[in-house]
Amino acid sequence: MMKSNSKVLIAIYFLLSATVVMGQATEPWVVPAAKKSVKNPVAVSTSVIEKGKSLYMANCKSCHGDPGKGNGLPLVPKPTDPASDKYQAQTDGEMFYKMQNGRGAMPKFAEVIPDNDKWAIIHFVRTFSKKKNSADAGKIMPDTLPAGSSFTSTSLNGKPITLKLKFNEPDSTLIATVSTLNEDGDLLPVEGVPVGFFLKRYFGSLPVGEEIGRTDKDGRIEVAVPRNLPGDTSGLLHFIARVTDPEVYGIAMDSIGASCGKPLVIVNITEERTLWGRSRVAPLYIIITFFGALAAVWGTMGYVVSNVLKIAQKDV
Amino acid sequence: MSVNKLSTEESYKTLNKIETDLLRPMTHHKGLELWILFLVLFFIIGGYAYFIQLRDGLGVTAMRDYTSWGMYIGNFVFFVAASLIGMFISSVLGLLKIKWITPITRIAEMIALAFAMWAGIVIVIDMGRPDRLLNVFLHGRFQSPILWDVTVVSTYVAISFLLLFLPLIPDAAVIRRRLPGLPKWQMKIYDLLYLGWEARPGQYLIIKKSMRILAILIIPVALAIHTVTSWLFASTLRAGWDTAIFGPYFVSGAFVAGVAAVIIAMYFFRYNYKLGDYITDFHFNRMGQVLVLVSAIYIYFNLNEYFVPAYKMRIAEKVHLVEMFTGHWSTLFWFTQIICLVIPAFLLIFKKMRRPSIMLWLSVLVLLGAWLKRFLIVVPVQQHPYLPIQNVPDSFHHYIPTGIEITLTILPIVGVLLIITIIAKLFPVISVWEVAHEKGVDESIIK
Repeated sequence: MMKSNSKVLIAIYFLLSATVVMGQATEPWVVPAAKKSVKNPVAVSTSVIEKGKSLYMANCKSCHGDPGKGNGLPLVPKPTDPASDKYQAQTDGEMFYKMQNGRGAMPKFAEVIPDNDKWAIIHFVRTFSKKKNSADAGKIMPDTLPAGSSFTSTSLNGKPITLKLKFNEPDSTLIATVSTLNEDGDLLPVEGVPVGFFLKRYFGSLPVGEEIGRTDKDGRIEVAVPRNLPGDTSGLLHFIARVTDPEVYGIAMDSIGASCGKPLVIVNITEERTLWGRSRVAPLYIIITFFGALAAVWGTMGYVVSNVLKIAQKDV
Repeated sequence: MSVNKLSTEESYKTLNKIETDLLRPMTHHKGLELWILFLVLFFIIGGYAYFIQLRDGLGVTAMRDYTSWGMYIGNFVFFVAASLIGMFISSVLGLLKIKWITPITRIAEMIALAFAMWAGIVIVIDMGRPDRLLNVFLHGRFQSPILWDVTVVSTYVAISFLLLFLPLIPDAAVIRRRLPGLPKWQMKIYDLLYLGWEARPGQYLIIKKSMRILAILIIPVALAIHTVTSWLFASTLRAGWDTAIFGPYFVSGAFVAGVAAVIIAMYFFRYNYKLGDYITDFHFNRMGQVLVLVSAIYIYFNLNEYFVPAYKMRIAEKVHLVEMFTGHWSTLFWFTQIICLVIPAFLLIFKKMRRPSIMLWLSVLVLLGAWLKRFLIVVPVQQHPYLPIQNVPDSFHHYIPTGIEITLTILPIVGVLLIITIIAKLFPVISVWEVAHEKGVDESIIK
């Protein structure tokens, strides 16, 4: 139910944005030079490409089509086939920037797909390149970890940083702790790292808190979660905390589920007694009229028949 | 009541003549075998056509995505309409104590039962998967006119059955006495049916009371059957069906079809069964007047149905009405309305025209028009949906019934004739005891 809902919403979003964009002239999409030169930080591996493929299929194919088949949606401008020369001529950084920011009918995926997953998609898309694999960029990176576990990356000074997210039930606050390992393998808190908190929604994420804060000297940062956020049917909400300046501090994120939202009450209108519903939920007056009339007519007929059969009795 | 009682001797004499006249066609029937053979032959052809439809699916008809209700549904509405006559003659006129209907009530009931029974079968013919018929009952929606239609048609068949066979109880006793030489299987039917009839006052009381109850009961049921049938259309939003008068419009049209059918049957039975002494010119005269009355009511409803929307000409209605008045369907429409309804009704106003031979042909026209009218109600509306028909195969745009469809439309009509033929072979087409009673014969001797 939720899943198909979100798909419908995404489709509507795309169509709406598509209509808005129609008629706009296709101006070249200029990517700032700094962003253009960003290299893919995720190391290429079979599993990364596999992951990129499944993410592409789930998030990109509906408009861009199957790479190489040119079967994307007929929007204006037409979504570029990722296998095309024009598309492959871009740098990894350009692709990432465009995914990150979106334009017109192309949605903004900044808060929708985690950064390392976007890089995985780029790895997948590069498999259609005629030059084959541009994985000369980027350092060796571990594969993306499953959702819910913390993600470790390299900070600027070459040490991996870790982000841990916790939910403090009594105060309704999210607490993120950013730390790094010293030479002895101990955890050290990192101060001054910008951390953003987000709430997962159908499409994209909702920022929690007014502005992006920085960790204190204990590597801690906390943000208050409003108590009236609508959750799923059990009130469950999914939060994400991530380092918002990965180019400086490296990629680090964590997610957590917390039952602190208002439970969603789904009013299933197909369960109500309506004229247009199923038979089981037909309005009572119709059922009563139907069976009442049926009983009256067939009852009378039964009475007549039983009477007529009395003709055979001798004493009549 | 008003009739003078005959003496015992006269009673016996009169009853004897009535019995002889009315039972004679049961044993003397030149050409009946040939007639049945012809009907059965058509059944074989129709059966083959149905086999093809079952094997290849409804694609063998001209029905497509847009015109998905074709000739079959038109035929169904016609059948339901024609079956309403049973209620009109024996109930409405009967309860009004109109005496002259006595010799034609059974003919009307036979027509009613035969058409009602086949109406149900016509619906099954229209189903692509008749093996799923049970699902209509298992998963039918109480909110849908379809379920109500199925229910009310079956109920009407049951009441019509009782109304036909109740008055046959005394007649079965008479047949047992008069025609003991009939085949054994046939005698078994009368043995079962006569219920030990001995013409006792208590037995008469039961029969008359029961018939009276049924006569009252059938009125709401008959109105329901055709009103619900009209709601199959009127409960949609389609221009041409979305009208508030569809219920009474259908019911009034049904009486026109039914009266015409009865006149044709009266003519046939009068001359073939030599019942001229019972179905007289007087009865034709009266039925002609009834036809004028019901036609006038129907014409009035037609004026409302067509000219009220035509005065306003809302876009969607306009597309439909222009096609009917001056467009694709205009020839059929005006033929149906003028030649098959207005002119016969007008001619029958004059006494000179209310003679059996003329009335027969006028009734044939009226009945033909009644069938065509159902076709015109069902089909053209579907070719003008609110959203334009585009990007579809050419066959979706038109509806020209195929040979198989036409065969399977005639098949139920042949089926009706077959049922009437069988009933008329097994039982007198005029109620012996009721006619005898009317002529003053002592009730207690009719056994």
